[in-house]
Amino acid sequence: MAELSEAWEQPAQPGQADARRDHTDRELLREARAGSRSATEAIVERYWDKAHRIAFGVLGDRHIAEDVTQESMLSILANLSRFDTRRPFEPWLHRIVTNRAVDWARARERREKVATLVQPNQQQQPLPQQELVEALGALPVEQRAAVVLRYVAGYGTNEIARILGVQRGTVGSRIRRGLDRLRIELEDQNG
Amino acid sequence: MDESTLVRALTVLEPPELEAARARAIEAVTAGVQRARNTRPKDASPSRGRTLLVASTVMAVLVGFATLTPPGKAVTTWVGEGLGIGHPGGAPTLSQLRSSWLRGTAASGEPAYVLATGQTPSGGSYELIAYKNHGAKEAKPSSEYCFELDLPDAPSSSSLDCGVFPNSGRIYDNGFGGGVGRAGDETFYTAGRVGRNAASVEVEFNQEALNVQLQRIPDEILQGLGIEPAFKFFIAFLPDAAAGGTVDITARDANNNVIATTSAPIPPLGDLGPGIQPPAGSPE
Repeated sequence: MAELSEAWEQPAQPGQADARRDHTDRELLREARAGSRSATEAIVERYWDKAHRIAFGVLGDRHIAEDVTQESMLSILANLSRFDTRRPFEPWLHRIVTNRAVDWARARERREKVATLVQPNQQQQPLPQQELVEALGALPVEQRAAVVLRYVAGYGTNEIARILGVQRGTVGSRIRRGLDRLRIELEDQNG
Repeated sequence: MDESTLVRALTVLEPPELEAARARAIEAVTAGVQRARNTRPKDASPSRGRTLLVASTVMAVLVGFATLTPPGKAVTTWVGEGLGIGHPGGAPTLSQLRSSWLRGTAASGEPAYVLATGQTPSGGSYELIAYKNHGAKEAKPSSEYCFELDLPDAPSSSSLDCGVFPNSGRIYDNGFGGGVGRAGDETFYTAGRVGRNAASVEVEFNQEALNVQLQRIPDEILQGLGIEPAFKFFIAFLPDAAAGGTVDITARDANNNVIATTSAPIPPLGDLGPGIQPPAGSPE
């Protein structure tokens, strides 16, 4: 097992993350595993947006989604020695983010029995995004996750099946039912 | 709203102030990784010089399956190596907690070793643990070692073959040495040991096929401990098993012939049983 370097680079200078834009994922991960701070920053910068969007789609609360995504990234990057850099990183990250978001959503639903994910103090979002978030909140979390992975993250059915740990057919039915339910919810919202 | 409009709206869904969140994450995650590196425990060698008796373990069905995470790193040498805590061949991450949980049981004071590690779906880690269990009523007569699954992030420790700990249930027979465990209310899994002759393992929970992680335990570790016969370890995480259900496991050989199969009910969350409770005042 490759030992992590004890030395930690000086904080990256402005633009260093940009300089890594041409690095492949594998190169960045190897450098991060070897202790490169700038490589770690570049990984977060490269993968944050889509991961955060997935968590937001599942949870409906941007603050909680941000926490879940940060925790997921930290969990992975602090244990990179366990990751095979030959494997694609992003699907693995999304799997962890999705599962954590789903776990969080389930736990919240059991504890709070809330009917909507929109928190009273949440900054108002321009329509129709707020309506969409509310409608997503009405879906069972399993359907929500499948729909988010399909349309927010852009994954195919096979990839979603791997991420969620279910059969391909299950993914298809969850997406179908999720879309149907979303349309009903949005029609009800609009009267 | 027609479906195409709905799909378009979904594809552009994003939280407010995404860029600001990204900037915060770069700083927070990088700082967190640095803290984790600075507080990483020093490597510790497991106890040496113990007499390792030849032990025969319960042969369970082995089903091969592509691992979702890299298998536990092979230990190229056993004797004389300094092996890290929480790594195959080393001491469990939960050594201190395990000592308190095991106090008063037949396993109290026995050394424990990590055989394999992996990741849970939520990004945490698990460790397959082996320890000698002398005289426990639950231990099978032919088994010198007992096997458990630790989830250091929970933290939790569940029995697979013998010994009883909080939040664990033993439900398997018919050739699968293993059981069902949970960490808190969230993480359910079924795990067990299987022989090396099986080529695939299928696990279904309420008739829904699950991803299965399968790891071959390195010979160096098993031989170093005197665990025979060699085996593989499988684990599948159950989605939302709080309401209970049924787990079906099937092992097949390289020719796709069924070697063994079992079907076991999983009781609802509250019925899994407390097992042996940690002594009052033990650390959480």
